[in-house]
Parts: sequence; C-alpha cells; structure tokens
Amino acid sequence: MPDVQPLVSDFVLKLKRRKVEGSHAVARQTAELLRSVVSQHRMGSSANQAAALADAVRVVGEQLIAANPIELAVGNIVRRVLHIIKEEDISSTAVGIEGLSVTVDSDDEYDSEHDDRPALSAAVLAAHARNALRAPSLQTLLEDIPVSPAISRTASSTGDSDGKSKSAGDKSSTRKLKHDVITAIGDLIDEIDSCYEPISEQAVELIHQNEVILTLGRSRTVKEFLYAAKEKKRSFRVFVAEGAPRYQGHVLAKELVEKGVQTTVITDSAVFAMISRVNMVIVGAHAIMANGGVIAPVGMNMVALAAQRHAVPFVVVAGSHKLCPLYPHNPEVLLNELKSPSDLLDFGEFSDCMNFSTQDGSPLLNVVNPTFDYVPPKLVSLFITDT
Amino acid sequence: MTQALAHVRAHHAACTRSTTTVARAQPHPARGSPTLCASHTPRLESSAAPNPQPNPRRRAVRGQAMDLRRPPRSSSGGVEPKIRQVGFFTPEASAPSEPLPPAAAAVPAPTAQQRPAAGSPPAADDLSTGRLSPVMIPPPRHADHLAPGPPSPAAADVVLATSAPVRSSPRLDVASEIGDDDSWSRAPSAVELEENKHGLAEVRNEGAPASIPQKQKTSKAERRAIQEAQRAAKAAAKEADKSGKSAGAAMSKQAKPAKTAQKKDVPQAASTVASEKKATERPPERERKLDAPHPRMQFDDVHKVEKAKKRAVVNQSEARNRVELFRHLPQYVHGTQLPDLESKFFQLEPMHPSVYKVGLQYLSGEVSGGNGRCIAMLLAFREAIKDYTTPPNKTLSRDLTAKISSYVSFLIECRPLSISMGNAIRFLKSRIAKLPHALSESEAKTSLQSDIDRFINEKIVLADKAIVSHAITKVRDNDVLLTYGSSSVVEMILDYAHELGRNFRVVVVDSRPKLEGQALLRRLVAKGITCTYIHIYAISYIMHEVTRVLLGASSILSNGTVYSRVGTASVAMVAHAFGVPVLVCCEAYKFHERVQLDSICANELGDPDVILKIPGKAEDHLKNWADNANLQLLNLTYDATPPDYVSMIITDYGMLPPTSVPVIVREYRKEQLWI
Repeated sequence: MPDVQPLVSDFVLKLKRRKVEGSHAVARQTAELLRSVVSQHRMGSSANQAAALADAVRVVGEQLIAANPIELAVGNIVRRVLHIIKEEDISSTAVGIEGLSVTVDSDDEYDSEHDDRPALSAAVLAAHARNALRAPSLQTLLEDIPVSPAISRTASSTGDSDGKSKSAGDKSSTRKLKHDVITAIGDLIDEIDSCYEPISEQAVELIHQNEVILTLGRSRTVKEFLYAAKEKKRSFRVFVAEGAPRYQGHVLAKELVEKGVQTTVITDSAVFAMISRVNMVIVGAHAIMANGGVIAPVGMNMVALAAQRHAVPFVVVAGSHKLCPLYPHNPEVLLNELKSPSDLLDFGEFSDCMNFSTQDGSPLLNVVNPTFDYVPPKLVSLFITDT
Repeated sequence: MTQALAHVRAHHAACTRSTTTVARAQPHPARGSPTLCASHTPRLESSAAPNPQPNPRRRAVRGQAMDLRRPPRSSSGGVEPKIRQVGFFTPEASAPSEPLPPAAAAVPAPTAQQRPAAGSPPAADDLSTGRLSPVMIPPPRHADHLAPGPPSPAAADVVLATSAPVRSSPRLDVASEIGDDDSWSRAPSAVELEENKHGLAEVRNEGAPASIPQKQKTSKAERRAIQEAQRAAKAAAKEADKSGKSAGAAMSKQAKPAKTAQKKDVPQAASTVASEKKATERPPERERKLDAPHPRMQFDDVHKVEKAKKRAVVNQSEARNRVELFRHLPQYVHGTQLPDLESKFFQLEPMHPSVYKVGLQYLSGEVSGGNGRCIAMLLAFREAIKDYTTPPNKTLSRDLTAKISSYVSFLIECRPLSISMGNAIRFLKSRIAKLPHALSESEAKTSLQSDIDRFINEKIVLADKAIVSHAITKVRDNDVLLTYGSSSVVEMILDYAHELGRNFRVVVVDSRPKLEGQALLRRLVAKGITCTYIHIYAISYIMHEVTRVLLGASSILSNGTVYSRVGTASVAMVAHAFGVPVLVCCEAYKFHERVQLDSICANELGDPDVILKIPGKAEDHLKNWADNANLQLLNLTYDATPPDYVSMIITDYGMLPPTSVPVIVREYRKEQLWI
C-alpha cells in the first residue's frame, strides 16, 4: 500500500504536532484515514484477505497511536475498524456455512471458501456468530480484538499450507469484503458525527425547569445537550467556568447566549463558591477509561470534588468513540500532557527569573501547565453516551 | 519570691506582648471598684468558688506563716505561671497545668488554704522555649488598665501576683477578693470544676455576665466595697512595715503594666477614674447589643440604597447585567469613578486628603491585601486625627467618631471593607469613646495616635512575627509547600525558613484575574527559593507532590470558616482530598464572631470586565457582553472554606484547630484584640 503511506505519515505528523486535537476531530480523521487505507489495500494472493486487511490496519493504527498516545480516541477507532473487518469476515463466513448446510447446491465460491478453513472449529465459529448477532456493547465492540488475529492466523496458516491456487470466485469475495468494510467504516464516521443526537435526546429527561447547571470549558456534546433542552422550552440557567488555559468557556457562553440561555461566566477559582447553588454539573470528557474514570480537561477534578462535597450530581456526556477499554495507571501523570508555560507566564516579563538555577543546574523556576485531569469513578454520578 | 517575680517580669518584658508563649504571672493592680462589685456579685462569687488555687489574696492577708510552710521551689522560676492552653500542646506541657483534680478535693475542705502550692508547673522559661510551643493564652489583660487605681491596694497585690489564680478575669479576681467567707457559694463548685477540666469554664463565665441580676444586693455590695477599702488600707499599712525590697517590687509592679499597656494614660489615670467607672457601669445588655455584628447593608433593599446614595461621595452607576444571585451586593460599573474622584481631589472639603488618597488607592487596586489595606487605612486615620480640631460647641469624642464614620463610609464606597478593617475601625471607635473627658484635645489626639500605632505594631507586625515563629516549626527539610495567591504572612514564613537554611520547594498557585502569585513568585525566585508555578486549574496535578499547604486568610469566622481570596476553598478541598495538611495563617485581629456558611451571602464582586482580559490571548469572544441581557460575568473576590478542610490555624496566639476559633474570638475580643 504505497499510496496511503504519505497520507498516514501526514496524519501522524499532524498528531505529533498537535495540529489535530480533540477526541471528535481525531476520531473522525482516524476513521477516514483507515477507510482510505482499506480502500487502497490491494488484496494480494494471500489466502486470507481479512487477516491481511486487519494487519494493514493494525500497522497503521500502531503508528497513529504512537504518534499521540494521549488521544485515546485514535486507539478506539483503530479497534473499532479491526472489529468491523472481523465482523464482516465472520458474517460472510457465517453466510457461507449457512449456505453449505441449508442449500445443497451452493456456489463454488462458498465451497472453496469453506475448504479454505478446515481448522476453524465449530466452537470458534459459534462464538463469532454469537458475537456478530449480539447487540453491540463496549465489550463486544472493543474487548475481543485479540481473537481476530488468532483466527486469521490459523486461517492463513492453513491456507498457506494448503497452497491452493485462488479460484476466480475469490476475487469477488474479497471485493465484497472490502466493500462491506468500507461501508461499515462510513457508518462509523456517521456515528461519530451524529453521536450528539442520541445523547441530547436525553436532555429533557435530566434537565427540569429552573435548573441551575454548571459546566467547565467547552464541549460540543455539552453544548448540544443544553441546546436540546432549550429547544424543548426548558428554561434553565448555566454557570460556565471559563476552563483555563484554553478559555473555551467564553466561547460556550457566547453560543449559549445566542440561543437565549441565561448564562453566567465565572472563573475557575469560583467554582467552589458557586457550586452550592448549582443543581447539576454537566461536563464533557476527553476519554472514559475502562474503570469508569474520566480523562477530562484540566480543572475537572476540582469541579468533581466540589460537586461531591455539595452532593451535586456530576454528569459526564461523551460519545462512544471516547470509551476506551484501557485501565488507567497513574493517569494524572501518564495520561497527561504538559503544555507550554507561556499560557501562564509572559516570557518577556519573567526573562529575568529564567536564568536562576541551583548548584546542581536544575532551574529555580518550574512552570507546570497540564492538559488533563483524571476524575476517579467514585466522583461521577452518571455517564450519558450514545448507542 | 520577689526575685522570682522579677524574673518572670523580666521574661515578660523580653517577650513582646503578642508572643503567645509568655507565661504571665497575672499582674493585677487590685482595683476594687464598688460599682463593678455591685453588678456582678452573686454570679461571680459562685464562679470564684471553684478556683482550684486557694485564694491567694486570703493567703496573703491572713497568714505570712503559710509561706514558710511551703516546700522550697525550684530557683529557676518559682512562680507558677497560670496558663490556659488552647489547641495543640504536648502532654508534658499540659500535665502540670492541670492540678485541678487535687484542687477540687482541696477547695471545699477547710484546710484548703493550707494546701501547699503543689504541682507547680515547670518554669515559664521551660514552656516558652519548649520544643512544641504550646498555645498558651495569657490571662486577659485587665480592662481597667486605664485606671491602675490607687497604689495602696496594688501593694497588697504583690503577694498575689506571685501565685496567680487560674481564674484570671479581672472580675473574678475582684470576686475572689470579696469572697472572704468561704461558705458563700461552695455548692456549685463541683459542677464548675467538672467544666473547668475541659478548660472552657473561663470562657463560659466571661460570656455570661449579662445574665446577672443587677438590682440584687446593692447594699451587700456596698458593704463589701467598704470592706475592700479597709482591707486595702490594712494591706497598705502592712506593706509599709515590710522591707524595702517588696516595696520596690510593688513599685515596679505598679509601673510595669501601666507602661506596657498604656503609656500615656498613666498621667491622667488618677483623674479619670470617675469617667472610667462610668464606662464600666454600662448595663451589660447594651454592651452586648453593641458587640453584636451590625447587619450588613443589603443592596437589594431599595430604600437603604437610595439613602446611601444621597450621602455618597463617589458617583456609582449601576452595572448592567447584574448577577441575580448577588443582588444583595453592590454591583457598580468599575473604572469610571477613579478619574472623577481624582479631579475632585483638591475640592473636597469634608474628606481629609490622606483618607481620600487611601480611598483612591483602594479604588485603583494599588493597595490591596488584608494587612496592607488595614494599615493604609489606619495610617490615614492617624493623619486625619493629627490634623483634627474640635469644632466649637462639640465634644471631641462625638465629633471625631462622626468624622471617622464619614471617612469609613467613603472608604466603603471605594471598596467594601474587609472584615479586618472593620475590626480595626471598631477598635478605633472604642478608643475614641473611652477617651476620658478630662483629657485636653491635644492629649486625646496623641493618645489616639499612639493607640493606632500600637494596634498596627502589635496586632499586625508583631502578630506576623509570632505566626512566623509558630509556623516555622511546621516547615521541615524536603518539604514541598504549596501556597495560593500572595499572602504576606506566608511569604514571611517562606523567607524565614529559607534564611534558616531549610531545604524546601514552594509551589505557587495563582489564579486569574488578579495573578497576585506572579509577584510572589518573582520575589521568591530572586531569593533563591526553588519554585513551581501553576494556575489553580492544575491543582490536582501538583497536589501529589505537596507535603503541606500554607494559606493566608482575609478573615476567620467563628464557626471556623476561612474567608479568603476566591479559590482558597478549592485549594483546601483538593488538599483535603489528597490528604495533605492545610495550615491557615491568620492574625488574630482578623478573627470575627460572624458566621458564614457559603460564599454567596457575603462577598465582594470585582470588575467583571477583567475576566475577559486573558493575557496573551487576543481573541475576545464576549466583547460586547453587556449588550446581551442573558449573559453575566461574575468576578467573585472571596470564598468561604469550610472548617473541615482546615487542619490547623496558625495565629499569633498559637496553633489551633478551627473549632477553637470562637475561643480566641471570645477571650480576646474585649481584653486582647481591642487592647
């Protein structure tokens, strides 16, 4: 796949340089890139096309994940795409089995395909059929990726050992698989784009009349959520903490005011003072870990603690592309990113302080500007996601 | 004994009055004012009864032989310093000061007076230089230091002073003098002693005088007064007979409290006894009423706002888009008044220029910070008093009080008062009100000016030093200290710890829009202290590394709530969540008996526009925010930190848990805080 390499390296560079940020943008662009990877993937002479495709996606995915490990959405999307490939593969296999058992005079195509995989045990097949039939959940979507390479490996090894030549029917089957995968990825992109709708549908059930809501920074999901409640003629009041260092709270306040929502902008430091008058905290997230902990914009832990202190429900709204099957270890440090200190200090003003250092050469002045906060699961009252 | 007394006195003089470790040997000019006795008799007698020490006065008057029977004392300081301990103290330090159970047994017994002064605590020096300085609350200074009284009863007091009673309130001592007949009210002693063990009985007794029935037993009181006078005369006679040594001690004793407490009042003291009596005569109910905090101005009360506007010097225009939740607070357009006021600088007749200047400095934010504002205000008042002349047909005290009030209301218009300033104003007004009428104008003025100087010196400057000396025990090597905003006391602590060569790191937490931490950061880095600078949003990130949080406070309220720069509560909360101790450093003059549960009922609103000005960011999403009625910007100045987040309050009287704040407030409001 020489054609996609420039695309991949371009996106890797973008990720590394933090040109693309935010779960939604990253997820969307990853999905688009993988779609083009799949479409550019030339189905070789290998017996198992699905495995080859999955390998190709995995190679690209590893590069993307390594480019910015903080953007957990990348990994999530790669896993989703791998899952799609596996699912498509299995569904076609299942169709093949079905065709074999039910219709006696089936096509060569299915026959040959079935012959290709003698090692595929009935149990595995059944499990996969179940997986394919089961309603999608986080477990099925993300957790059982390791199964697919195992299958494909056994499949491909048997295929190689057989050393069978490809039949003409195979071509059309690979084309079908590729086509199905591409449409499925297209659906995934649509899902990412439209994840706000199912979330904001629940707004009216959670926001009552005269509610006082507090939010921190700006999250598109939160915005849509509040919009939806406003459109249903609920009148409520929103405190927007500005969300330093990006101050996206100002943007959100502007957007809310345009919709006619009563909005008050407060500084981050005033969150504790105001939270006693707040009925509900609704915030967005960067990623949600497997243990229910939330990687959120910096400052969120403070808000969550204050909410807990005053027994205010702390609601996290997030699209399912932010749900991550990893468990956090020391997330404050390992899943964090330090930004430029210029957000805090003006280098020009503080240039005289920069020269100082102690005897061992370590600087006297350190400036820390993290990007994310980890909110432990015990502080979160409710997650609202799509699906 | 006199030697020992001299020792303690010397020690006392060495330590300044505001250092808490001074173990005071109850200097007590015996001043038995008959009226006072009359109003307090029954109750006080009962409260005097549980006095664990055998009544020293009685001992002094009745038997010299008893002194001989005493076991020899340690020469280092035979005087028993009576210390009331509040807050954290080591058991070793506290143990000796609890000879209560034996005393409880001893007092009702007829042999109580012969009880040797057993269980005498270690010398004052031991305690003051002790490893963990216990919080020792020196017995309250006498309210009557203004009138040191005739020398004769004081002479009798010399002996008393060597073994001061635990009960140290002046009233109680008066009562104990009176309580000649032991049978008087022994009954409640057991109960009272029980409370005494908890160390709070004194407080109770002080807090409750209003309940005393006054009309009762005036005749008895009179009788007692006569008795008292006779006894004083007798004592004086005896004193005269005694050796010159004790007489000399008496002299020094007489002079010292006057010198330390009230330098300039000494000359007029004799002439002002009468007026002083009048002041103390005031019915306690009224006094209490005055003491209760005034209800604050509520700015949603239309009538009052209208009234206030008529008097106003500063032209305030109502802010647009006021925050509904804060209707009760003044919300005016910021930045418009300053040029207007500056132009009026030379016209304004009623305002003293120095006060005017301070007002402008408040308005422009040039002077900020609790101590800074308070000192600026007091110095301005000092100037104003210096230039003050009483108009004809007016009395100084009334006219000056009115003048000060007008100054204060001007300052409030410039910026709402902080609680510490309110306390300082209360002090000044009470000083003016208590000025003896006999004083000439110039004398009164110098007296007030030195009062102000003393307040600044003792309550702020020396208090800060005391806080530093306490807090430094909590800074250890390899500590990571976190501080929020820019507190002058905390900075002094950090500087001092650095001077001592402690190896520690400082995390300076700052917040928009004031960014006061930057100035602090610059000063600390220039001194060579390793600093980490963050904004408040990153507090959860940095808290892992922190070992202690040092915070300043604008005020501490009597439920233990720390009222401070907005964001302090968040910092304390996160520290609490991470199990990091939170130490709040605050001078005792900033304590207030008011109670606050949230940050909304009382607060101060800053200029909302500054929220939008983000350094280094050009884009302005909310440029014309005031045009949209749905949008408000809220710039809070303070917040209230719940007491359960605070591990310890470090004040000039020592280190306390937040639950002990009311003790400080009650104990020192009259005698100590207001000098």
